[in-house]
Amino acid sequence: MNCFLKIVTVCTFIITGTLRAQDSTVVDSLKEAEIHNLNVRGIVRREVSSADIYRNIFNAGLYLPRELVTGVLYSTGRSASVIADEKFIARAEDFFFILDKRVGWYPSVLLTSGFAPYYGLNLFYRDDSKSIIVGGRYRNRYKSGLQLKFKYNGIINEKVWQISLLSLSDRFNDQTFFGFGADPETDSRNKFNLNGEDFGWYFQKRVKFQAVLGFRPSEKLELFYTSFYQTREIGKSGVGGLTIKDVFDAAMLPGVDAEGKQLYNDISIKYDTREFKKSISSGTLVGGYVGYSKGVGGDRSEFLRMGFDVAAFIPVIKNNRIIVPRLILDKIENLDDGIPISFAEYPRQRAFRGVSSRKLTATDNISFIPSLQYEWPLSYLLTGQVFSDFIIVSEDLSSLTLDNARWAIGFGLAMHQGRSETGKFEIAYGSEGVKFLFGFGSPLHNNERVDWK
Amino acid sequence: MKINQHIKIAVLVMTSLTISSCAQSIKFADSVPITESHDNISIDVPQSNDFNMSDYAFEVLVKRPAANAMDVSRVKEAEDVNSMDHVPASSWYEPRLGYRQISPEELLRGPQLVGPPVAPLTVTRAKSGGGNPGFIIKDSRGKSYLMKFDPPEFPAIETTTALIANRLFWGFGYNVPEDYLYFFKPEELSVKKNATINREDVDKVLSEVAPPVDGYYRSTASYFIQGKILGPLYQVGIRKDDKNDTIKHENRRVLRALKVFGTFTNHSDMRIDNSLDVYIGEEGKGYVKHYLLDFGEAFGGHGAEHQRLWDGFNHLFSTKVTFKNIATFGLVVDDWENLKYTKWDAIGAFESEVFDPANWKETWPYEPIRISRREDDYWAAKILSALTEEQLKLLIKEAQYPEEGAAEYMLETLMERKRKTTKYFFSRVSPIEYANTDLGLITLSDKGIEVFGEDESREGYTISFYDGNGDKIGQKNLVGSSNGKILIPISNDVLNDSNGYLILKIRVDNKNADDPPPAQFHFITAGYKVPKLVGVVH
Repeated sequence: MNCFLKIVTVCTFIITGTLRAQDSTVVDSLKEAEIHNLNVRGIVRREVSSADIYRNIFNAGLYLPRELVTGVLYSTGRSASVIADEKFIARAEDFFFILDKRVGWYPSVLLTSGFAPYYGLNLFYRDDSKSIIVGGRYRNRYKSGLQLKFKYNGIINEKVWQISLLSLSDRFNDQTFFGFGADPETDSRNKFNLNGEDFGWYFQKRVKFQAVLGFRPSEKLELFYTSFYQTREIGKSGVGGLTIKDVFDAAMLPGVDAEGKQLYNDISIKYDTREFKKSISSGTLVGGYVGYSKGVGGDRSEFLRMGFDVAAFIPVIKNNRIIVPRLILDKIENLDDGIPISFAEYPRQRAFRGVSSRKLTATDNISFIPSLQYEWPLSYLLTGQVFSDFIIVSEDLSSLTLDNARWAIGFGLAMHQGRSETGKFEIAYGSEGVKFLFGFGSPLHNNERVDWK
Repeated sequence: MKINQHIKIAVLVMTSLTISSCAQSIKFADSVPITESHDNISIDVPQSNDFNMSDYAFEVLVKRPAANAMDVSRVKEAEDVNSMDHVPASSWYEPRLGYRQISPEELLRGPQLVGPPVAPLTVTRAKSGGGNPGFIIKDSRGKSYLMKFDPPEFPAIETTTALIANRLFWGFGYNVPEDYLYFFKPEELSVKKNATINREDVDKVLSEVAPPVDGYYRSTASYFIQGKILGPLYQVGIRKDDKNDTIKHENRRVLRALKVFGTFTNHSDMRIDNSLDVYIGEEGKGYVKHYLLDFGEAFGGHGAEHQRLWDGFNHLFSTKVTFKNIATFGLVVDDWENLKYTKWDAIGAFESEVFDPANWKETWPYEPIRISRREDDYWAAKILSALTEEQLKLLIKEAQYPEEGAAEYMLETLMERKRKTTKYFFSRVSPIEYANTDLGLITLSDKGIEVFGEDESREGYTISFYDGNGDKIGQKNLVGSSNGKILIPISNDVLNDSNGYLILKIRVDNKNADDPPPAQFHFITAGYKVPKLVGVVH
């Protein structure tokens, strides 16, 4: 009872205090309005039921949480509110956009279980034919990234072509390496130091300059030529756990404590029959690439990359419920057996959703990711996904086996604008444990095929 | 401890009893029903309202639903309603359909005062705001019009709809601009010198819209509302600088009624920027008048333009639907997912078969629609029931559907939607109206039977009598009516027990369906030979 009285008293003070704080002329006009309204209705007494009274008491109890939620939502996200009569907070249009909405900014966030969250900011300029994006992510001076991207679209003889230029610089000290092969502990290429750990942390700093020329000869077909120059410096992680040099014999890890410099060129093709504007539609996706990397300066490595990505988007029940079997394969082939490829250049598995992309959980010359996904619409712009992914790695194609394959099953929600994902929530469970991911605002390097971190 | 516990229980019980005794029934004054609100008292020009799409989207899709989820208070009765449960004339509404005879020709004329543009036309500026291309012109009389067009993928879909829906909403009682279907050739347009738009821009606009037929472009010419434009009318709250705006907008029946009219016309694009407040009159001597506009995306227009078959079936975002789809993994197929576009571009996917008035949804949640009560819906459904086939036929004819069979399909579809809509909203109340009172006899009429004919599912009526304190003083059960007329004898005992104020509650009893709440008729018996009707509640 004391607790109840306290709550009622506090609520009463808040409500009456709020009323008292109002301009007295507003209170007077409310009374006048009430009298006028009663006159229009022609009543001398309103209907009141006892249920109403109980509801109002309960509602008074919800006053504080309701006002709190309303207040918090007032100042959240892209739609910063306007206080209509005072306007002391800048309007969303002015806050996020200037120059006829051509210049704007938006925040980004990436939360992944097991890793520190990243918060970022992106500034952009766009018009009909070109866009410029400057984006940065930051956690601390050991975990940050900055990217500048320029894109230009043009039409020649009714065919669309595109040039994009990218420069990025990033550093992460929470990368991990587990060794080569499907079962690193038994693979003779891995020399573990005898300290019981099966993975090591490392620090990586990258600078990259990239140009991509894209061409769309038909509605469904895209061709790309990509060229980049990249430096990659691997060093000691400051995370606190065992470094790769602590866990592995440094002599068998090419690329450690070294700066790799490479010039890479590749051509890729993508044939996608899905409807462009729809987040879920049936069709087929077939893509492939082949690329050549040559070390520059002190880096004498030379290798080929190649791969394919094929998926079928099969409608079930309706056209916007689809089952997607997908196969992604990446292969790396050393062209000079005398010069080993840096371990950090080995295929990463961005498409595997069981673990963060910063964790190189399994790698080898060949990385194969079969997956099966079911996707369906939840509402306008939101889709639901359930998926199962596998990673199978091996030295060569004939050795691909499900033994020791990493696996994950999970559920995700994706926010779309057309076929681009602008936000994602995912939870997965598998051989690598539980993974949770929440991302918003096109985090850096999202879905970049040639971003081999 | 035990004594404290007993005291607590006793206090709780006493509180409950006290609360229960605070309950009271509505009581009407012995007065003449208000038929005019007189909300045109002179005021200074109020401030303009802003509209920002991002803010609005966040407000209606996120903030308000979150706040509403924590509000358990009962929705208030509408406050712009008089004692007879009608809405008086005001700056918001003018009683038309359902209140007086409106010929098809008058409905077609609708808001006309100035009439359509008179050539030659001069383009004066570009259209600002809104997603569709257009421009502003002045005609030979110097009158300004906004010219709007059809999308190229669905020729005629908006220009037909704009005319028909504009006149329908005028007929329902709203203030609407003068919209006209207007044909012109591009060579009839000249561009004003020093205009903010040049000939190239005009040609660009015309290249982005439905192509001309026989050299003529179809357009909707919307005459600029005269007065100082104050921006959209907000769906909640009041204008603090307008003394005449005394009722929170969400509690206005005229706005809540948009649920029924929106259901019928599929005016799913009901957003505040499709409404307008205008200051009418000399500065300092005028008042604010409230308009609805932009009806071109009613019927199938909004869904066709945005390629959304779910238009009219779902809000743009709903947590309820989202969670349902998460839980069912998309394995449950909603009815609208089986819809297909009709063979007529001018109609899109507009239909009446899958249409369910109980589940119609506007795209952007609109608060007055959300909290509309049964009696608000019933009032609007009565107005809708007054719309005749002849009136619709003429509007459709004047809209000039270009494709063969389209006009007939539209008439059939609108009539069926009207039937479904009125039937559904009538079924949620006891649709009983007052007829007259004689010595010892009160005559009521069953509006449902009047509109739809005898209904086999009607078992009869339960009638109860109460005094002014809400205490029951009698009951009667009637089986059937005579052509919809319900004759209720009033005994002297009931009159005496009423102590001067009699409440008659009558509920329709339905077979195989939930019985709706009763309609109430309040009479003052003291001082009158024949009980005087002073109030109606549905």
